[in-house]
Amino acid sequence: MTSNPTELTRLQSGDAATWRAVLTEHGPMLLGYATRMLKDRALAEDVVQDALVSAYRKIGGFDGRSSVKAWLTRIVRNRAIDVLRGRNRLVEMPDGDPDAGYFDERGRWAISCPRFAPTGEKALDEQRLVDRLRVAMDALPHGQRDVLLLKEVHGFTTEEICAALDLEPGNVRIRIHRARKALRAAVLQGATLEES
Amino acid sequence: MPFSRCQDVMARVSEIVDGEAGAGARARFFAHMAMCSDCRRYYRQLRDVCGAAAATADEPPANLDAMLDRVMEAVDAAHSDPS
Repeated sequence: MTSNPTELTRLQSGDAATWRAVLTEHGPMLLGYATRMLKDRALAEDVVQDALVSAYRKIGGFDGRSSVKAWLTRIVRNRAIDVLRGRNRLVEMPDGDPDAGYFDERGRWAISCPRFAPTGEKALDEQRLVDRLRVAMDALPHGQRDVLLLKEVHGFTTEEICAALDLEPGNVRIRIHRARKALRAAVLQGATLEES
Repeated sequence: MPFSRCQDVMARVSEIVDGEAGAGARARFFAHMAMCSDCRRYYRQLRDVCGAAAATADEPPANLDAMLDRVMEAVDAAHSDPS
């Protein structure tokens, strides 16, 4: 999705009303995204503020080939990654497959697919699932956490994620799938812990 | 004809959840689901994870307007002093 040319022209000319409208529209998403990436609300506010001022200074060089939302997200994301890297808090992508051991050599289930809910419960209630997911998402490596936050929490399309994170569609899909599998495994681990 | 390997079916769950699979792949996927309770459970779990992940969003902060005001002040300052 490309930018709205009229809006972009106004932003590039420094039109304050258009800037305020854009920041009001995307500010909550950007702050929510940065907060989950950095796990620190105050730090996220600083990062988003710096990123948006930087965006204002750099918008003359923005070609409008992606949406303004994706472009702003990219700037915020890069700032957040710089901060995480500076604090040695970047979590690398894991090599292992969370589903390892599920399937036999013929690609069929080697064990029965485990249940989310502890024994005796029919299903895991929604609040417990959300609570477990929040912890699990925060523990994901940043390369999975950022695609998942944009996709599931902020409703970005694959195309928007590609533009925001400078990734190919196939790479985005793989990261999303792996992140979902990791979350599922984490929820499952929570069920095991509840049983013990 | 349904997919025959559960592992191949499970590799496509995200495509199905996101509505990105073609009609043929969807038909084969759900034909397999009809026959395999383990794959059905896995599919539901992944689908539930996706649905619940959206509910982990934080409430917007009460001081968001103040932050945007600070950005706009910086933007105004940058606009009047482009150096």
